[in-house]
Amino acid sequence: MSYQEKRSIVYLISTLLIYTLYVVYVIARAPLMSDGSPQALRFWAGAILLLVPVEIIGTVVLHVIFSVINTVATKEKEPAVTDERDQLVELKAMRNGFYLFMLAFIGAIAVLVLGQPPAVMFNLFVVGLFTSQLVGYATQFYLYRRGF
Amino acid sequence: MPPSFTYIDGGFKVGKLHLGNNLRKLRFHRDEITQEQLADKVGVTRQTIIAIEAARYAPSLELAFRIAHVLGVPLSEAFSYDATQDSMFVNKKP
Repeated sequence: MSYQEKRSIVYLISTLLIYTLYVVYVIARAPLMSDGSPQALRFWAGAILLLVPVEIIGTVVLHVIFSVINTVATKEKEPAVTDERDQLVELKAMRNGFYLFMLAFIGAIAVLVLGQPPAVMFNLFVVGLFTSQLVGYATQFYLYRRGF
Repeated sequence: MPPSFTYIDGGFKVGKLHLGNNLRKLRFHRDEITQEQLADKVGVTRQTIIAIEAARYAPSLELAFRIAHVLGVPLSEAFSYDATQDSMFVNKKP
């Protein structure tokens, strides 16, 4: 398995891990879903904003751990260049993730129109972020594995 | 009637790709240059060279020219194209 394939798997697992832990942490402190008060909206908006740095830091830490373990175990170094194939894989992965996020975004707006509380919309944003990243990393793995 | 192209190391096997290549053979004739060395000379990763050789990736024109240059052969000797396998032209009038 190539370094890029292993890296895609690590990112998949780290996304699963970070989102699961974060969602458990947030749900334990969350107000009722039906609560549409300004305080509840502020809570959900803050939870999404905080998710961004948490995810960046978590991914960087897990990536460093992976790099160290991989280097020690296989003596394989991280590729020094990002070539045209890497860029194409990244673009296709980002495109697929973006499509999914747009679906979730439209769904999140639609639930408001259908009369659901705003908390549902915020939760759909989180689901959209999560699934779009999963699809992006899965696409990367597939393209590195199977070619295109 | 047999196909009009000559079978070469990589290519003609994988779904959408109609590009073949002689990279493995040319590397051998070029002082047995390794995939890693070729990758370094043309500025890509070894994985990309592996993917090109296995016809899992069609390189850009620029990269194809670079590879041919490093291997010291014209582009048409390093890479080839088989129109008989290309759905764009199969079963279509010229």
